[in-house]
Amino acid sequence: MKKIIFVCIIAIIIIGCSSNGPTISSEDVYQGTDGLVVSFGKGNPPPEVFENSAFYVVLELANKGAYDIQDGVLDINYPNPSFIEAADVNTKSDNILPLDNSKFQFQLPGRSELNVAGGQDAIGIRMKTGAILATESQTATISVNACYHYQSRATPVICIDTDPLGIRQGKKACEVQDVADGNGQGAPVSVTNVEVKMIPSADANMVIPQFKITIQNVGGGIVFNPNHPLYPCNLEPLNQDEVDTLSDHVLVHAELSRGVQLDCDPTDDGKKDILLDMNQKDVYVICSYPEGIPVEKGAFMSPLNIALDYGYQTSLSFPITVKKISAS
Amino acid sequence: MRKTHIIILLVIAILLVSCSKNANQKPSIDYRTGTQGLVLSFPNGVPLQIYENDVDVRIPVQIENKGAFPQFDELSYFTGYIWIGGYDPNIVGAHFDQGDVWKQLDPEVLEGKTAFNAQGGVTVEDLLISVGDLPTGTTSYQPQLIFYLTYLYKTIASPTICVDPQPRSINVKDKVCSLPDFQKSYPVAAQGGPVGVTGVQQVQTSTQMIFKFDIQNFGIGQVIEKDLIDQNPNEGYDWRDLNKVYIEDVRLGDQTVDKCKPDIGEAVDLYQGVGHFQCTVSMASIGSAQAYTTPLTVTLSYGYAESQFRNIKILEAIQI
Repeated sequence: MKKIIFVCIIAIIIIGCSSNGPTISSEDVYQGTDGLVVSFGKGNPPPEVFENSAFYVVLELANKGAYDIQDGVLDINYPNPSFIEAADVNTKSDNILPLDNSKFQFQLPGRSELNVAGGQDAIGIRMKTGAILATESQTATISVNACYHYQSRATPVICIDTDPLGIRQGKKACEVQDVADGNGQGAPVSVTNVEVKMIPSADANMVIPQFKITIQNVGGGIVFNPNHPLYPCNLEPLNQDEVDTLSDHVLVHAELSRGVQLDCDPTDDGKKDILLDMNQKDVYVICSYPEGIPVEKGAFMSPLNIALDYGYQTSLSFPITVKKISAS
Repeated sequence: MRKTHIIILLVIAILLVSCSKNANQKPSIDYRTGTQGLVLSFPNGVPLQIYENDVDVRIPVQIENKGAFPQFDELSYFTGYIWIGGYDPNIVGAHFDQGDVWKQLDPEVLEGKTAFNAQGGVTVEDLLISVGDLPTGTTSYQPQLIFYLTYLYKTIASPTICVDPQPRSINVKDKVCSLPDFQKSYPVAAQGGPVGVTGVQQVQTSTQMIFKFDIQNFGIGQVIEKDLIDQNPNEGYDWRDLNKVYIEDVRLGDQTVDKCKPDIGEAVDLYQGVGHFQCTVSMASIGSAQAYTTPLTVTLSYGYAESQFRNIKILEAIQI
């Protein structure tokens, strides 16, 4: 009986001590420089195949950014349809819909608190090679273009100081500082730096916050006009002029605090968002709040919300060597 | 064995007598000490992490009076406020229990240290915080809240000085005190407030006594104009409204001094936290022919502002 009581006490102690579960932690999904990541499956395709044979091409799609892709297009280019052609297509889920043998429409959710890994999917394409006539082997390249609309969101917390010249004495809750972010915001185009300035207004009771926002394409792909995000994957080939007018443009929308839209457009046409040309050495935009903030608000920290809207093209290719089967 | 018992009993008796003798002595409390006035702190258990759309999260703030003002008969002269700032008002709503970003302090509960209360008054004020929606894409927001105390304070210093009506007399006689070379310096200990007198220098001429006073801001806050105590400190102060300590009264014994520069009722300007003023007493007003010691009582009044920071973290609520 005593032994039973002793065992029970030990058990209660052990249960009590082990009742502390794992620490709850949350991951910041608004980090990183990837958007859609497309890769070939391991061994699919193989680097070498034989003529008149079948092989598989597996394309793995993963949305490693923080934005949901709704109407992306995957465009697979085969070197020569008579030489290598797609015989059959299988998709893993309803997130990918074949438009034809070489084009697919896809949607993938981005990373979130509830889905830290982001959406993932795959396409399997059974390919057939034709006969090689003249040589012992031929090399062909399978290339893939993925075009999709994406959005980057940078939300640095900055200091609003309504007494930038320090005329008024007293302790302040914060100091105006520039904010640099080299880690990305969970997207291939990111805000790398925000310079903060508080400019005295003509009205002595107001201060105008101004932000110089530096933007960089860090994803390795091509940025396209957000109004035509799928243009690079169009059925019609693009000529160079068309690419030049539609590529390298990002729509910038900035807000201060909650719902206070900043004016980023230098023209007086009433618009506040700006379509920024990324094809220059230093890409930046200057946004401000011309209405100003009252001096009586003192100094306080406030979130700056910068949304970059753009189309993005990710490309990759894989060379395949098709070998002739030697006659025995 | 009997001798040993006797020795032990004697030792015990001596110890008991000496201990009980100390127990009967009442400790004297010099409450006009220290360099602090009102002190702000945060009790344990103050929440540091809250979520968007939380309503009326309570953050208690403790205020202690570690100085010597106000005494019981000075309660009506005390004015003080607590203020909150440092947050984005579009996202966070903060107010004290009366509904404002400020609250007037109750002098009854914040009485200064006294002979009967060496700790001084203590009160706890509740700050209530409500959070709206965080902007889209903002997963956390960490404002640095700044809590300000602004209050009127008084400091009284009473060094004992020597009055020698005949410092140049050639008659040889015993004096209770003297002024070697007709001058003397008196160091003064802290007087139970953030601003106080650090030293008094006495110079005696044939017709008058001149007292030079050094004053200093010992505390970590700012001396402000007394009529700005009810102004929101988050707006900042004009530099011309800072560092003014008023001379309320200067008495030699129970007699007001003849003249001061700046005069009684006027302000002494502090420069880098330090200020000086001087007062004179004519020898003709000294009634005694003998040297004697007497308190020289200096009363200073000033406004004071000091602050404490507190970081809180506001997290995005996960939507399922």
